[in-house]
Amino acid sequence: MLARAEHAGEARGAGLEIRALHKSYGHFHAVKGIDLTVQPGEFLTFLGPSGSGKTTTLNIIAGFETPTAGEVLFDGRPLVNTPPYRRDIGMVFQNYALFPHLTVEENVAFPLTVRKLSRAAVAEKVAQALGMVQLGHLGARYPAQLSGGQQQRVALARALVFNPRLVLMDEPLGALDKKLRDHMQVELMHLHRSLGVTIIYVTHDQGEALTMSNRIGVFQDGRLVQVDTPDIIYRSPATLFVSDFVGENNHLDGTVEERHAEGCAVRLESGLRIESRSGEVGPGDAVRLTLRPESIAILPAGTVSGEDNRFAGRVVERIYFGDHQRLVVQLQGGVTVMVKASPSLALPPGSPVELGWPAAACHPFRLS
Amino acid sequence: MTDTPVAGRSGRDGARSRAVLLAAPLLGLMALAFFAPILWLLAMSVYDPTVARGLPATAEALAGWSGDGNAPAAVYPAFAADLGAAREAGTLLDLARALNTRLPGIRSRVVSAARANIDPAAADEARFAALHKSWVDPATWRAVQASTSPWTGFHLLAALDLRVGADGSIERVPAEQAIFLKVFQRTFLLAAAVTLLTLILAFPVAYFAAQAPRPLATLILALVLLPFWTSMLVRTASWMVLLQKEGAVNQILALFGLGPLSLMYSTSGLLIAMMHIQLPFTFLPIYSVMKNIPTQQLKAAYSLGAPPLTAFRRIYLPQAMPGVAAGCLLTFILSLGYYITPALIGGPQDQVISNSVANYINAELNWHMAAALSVVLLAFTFVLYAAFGRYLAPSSLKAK
Repeated sequence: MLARAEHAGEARGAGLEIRALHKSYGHFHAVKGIDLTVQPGEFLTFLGPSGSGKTTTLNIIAGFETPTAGEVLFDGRPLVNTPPYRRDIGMVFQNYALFPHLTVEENVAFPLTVRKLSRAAVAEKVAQALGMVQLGHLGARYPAQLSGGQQQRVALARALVFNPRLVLMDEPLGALDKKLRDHMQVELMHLHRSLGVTIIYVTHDQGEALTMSNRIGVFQDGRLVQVDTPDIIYRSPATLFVSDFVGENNHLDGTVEERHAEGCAVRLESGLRIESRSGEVGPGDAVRLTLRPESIAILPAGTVSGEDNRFAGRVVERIYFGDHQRLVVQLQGGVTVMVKASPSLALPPGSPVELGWPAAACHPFRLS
Repeated sequence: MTDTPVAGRSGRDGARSRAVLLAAPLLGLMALAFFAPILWLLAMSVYDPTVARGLPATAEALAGWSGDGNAPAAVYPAFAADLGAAREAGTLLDLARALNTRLPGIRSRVVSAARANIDPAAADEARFAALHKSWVDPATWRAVQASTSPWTGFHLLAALDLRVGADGSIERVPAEQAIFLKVFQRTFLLAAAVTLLTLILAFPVAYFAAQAPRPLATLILALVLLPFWTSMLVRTASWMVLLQKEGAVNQILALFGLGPLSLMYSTSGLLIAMMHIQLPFTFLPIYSVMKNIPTQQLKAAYSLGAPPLTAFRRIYLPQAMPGVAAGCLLTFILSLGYYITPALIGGPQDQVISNSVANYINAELNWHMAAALSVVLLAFTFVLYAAFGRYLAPSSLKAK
């Protein structure tokens, strides 16, 4: 039980394949054709706003919903006609769904007793699972007597105690405060690494997704718009939606003036000409450029550097965060951009600044 | 600076006394119109001064008597004097009836003795013996002596089919006089049957309504509660119309070539009517508890490997139990007190303890016996409540 992956000698996690999955409720299409392969032992996150189909997809994998069309393969075996209680998929619910009339120990023992394990085996596995989440001393308590974080760990122990090879998590940290959430994120990552199970994790918190996942699948309007590593999702978002949903952006709207070898040049309505990546746009296209606040550099006045884009501006507003500060800077022509800067820079509102950023930091998306 | 907290506290006290003042009209009404009459009625089960007031001289004459051998001779003149006084005062019939409850059959003898108008000066054993031989029986005077104390356990014992025997010990009354235990047993069996039947009907409906989408749940709730908003008397009368020999139920059965069933004045008819009236009381607590069990609970159980029946039995049912216990207890206790429905729909074999109480109050005019039966019913109910009430607390609260 809970054998470490390295001891088991092979990946304990199951592979999952989703093919052309559709789900509609009457005229409402919650899931509109999802294809996805989850690798054994992977930590994959479904990220998206509420109503984007991520929870529906999760419920189909768990067996609580039947897809309108499509297939789910668990290690190559079709899963759709298996009832949820025979899928051996662990699940952690948003509000934990602990059984209030059972003690912590009885909660964790539940999946083992329904599998009719011997009394001794149940006791041993429960003790081990509670030890894994550092709750061995609270076994006799009732869920209502535990803090939110402790309840979360019980739910985790309960979902893992029967050695599922795939664990689904539906916004499991949503109800915790920020400090505890950060802490639990790290614990979850450690658990995932030591157990080697496959985890599919649903969240609408992009920070959580970026921190924990091997890969992130971004949902929009019932479709998976991009599945990639956190780094690629953040640096090379496939669509404007992904770019905006993950991280912060400055938006600069304009028209593509020319394409050249290194990228393209975009003329903003205010008259500024901005060098950008080429993307999939051509001359004459109306585009929106996204530019992350942290990729804008504040240049020492008067220096001449090789930045692709360099503009003079004036600080309009300064927001102090402790570890960094954000400056709202008005450029020539009235364009404002948000800049993340070192907190030690003394730039009160009104200060003149020079901003610069490379063309590669600008992602052009065609506006339709 | 020390006066600040004092001012604060007196301000709070002021708010509290104002709150008590606001509640005072209701508390006063409850005390006057509810608690006082009930206490007074319950006290009547052990307090009966009619004989003590009606036979003051006789009581005095019997005061020293041990009960062995013949009654003291002084009893006869005193008794004659008391009877004469009662006749003058017009309390003779009350006195005779009170004595009759202790010594069945003595009523007419008391009345005829009073009519004989014996002069107290000439009254002696022989004079009374000539009226009726029981007047020289020591047992008669022992019963009269016992009745002259205003405080008595006689009615309470009688309500349990018990009496004080000749040797002073408590014994069962002869089988042909024992009626109340049987009626109590019937009352409790009827209440238990109504409780069980409403539970069987209400539980699946409550489960269905708790799972149903909102508009459907509202409709089910309205259908279950609709009869709740009609007077119990009206519903009972409606059932009489439906259940009688030529009633709607038998007419419909006749269409299928069945029946007729004799549902009126029968236990089955009574059960149908009482179930109908009690169904909302069983249903509502179950529904409200079920409504608060998150649907995720069952999903979680499935995901952990429990098939639907196991999940229901081990996860859903224990969480629904407080509602089941509350609903059943409510229906059971309310069913114990039914009066109109058994009186109108039940047959003579279906009369419950409330009917006996009503009979003693309306027909026999023996409020002491009615009070005694009420005390016994109340005591049984409290015992049951104490026995089952502790199962009402859900286990998740137990630990808190």
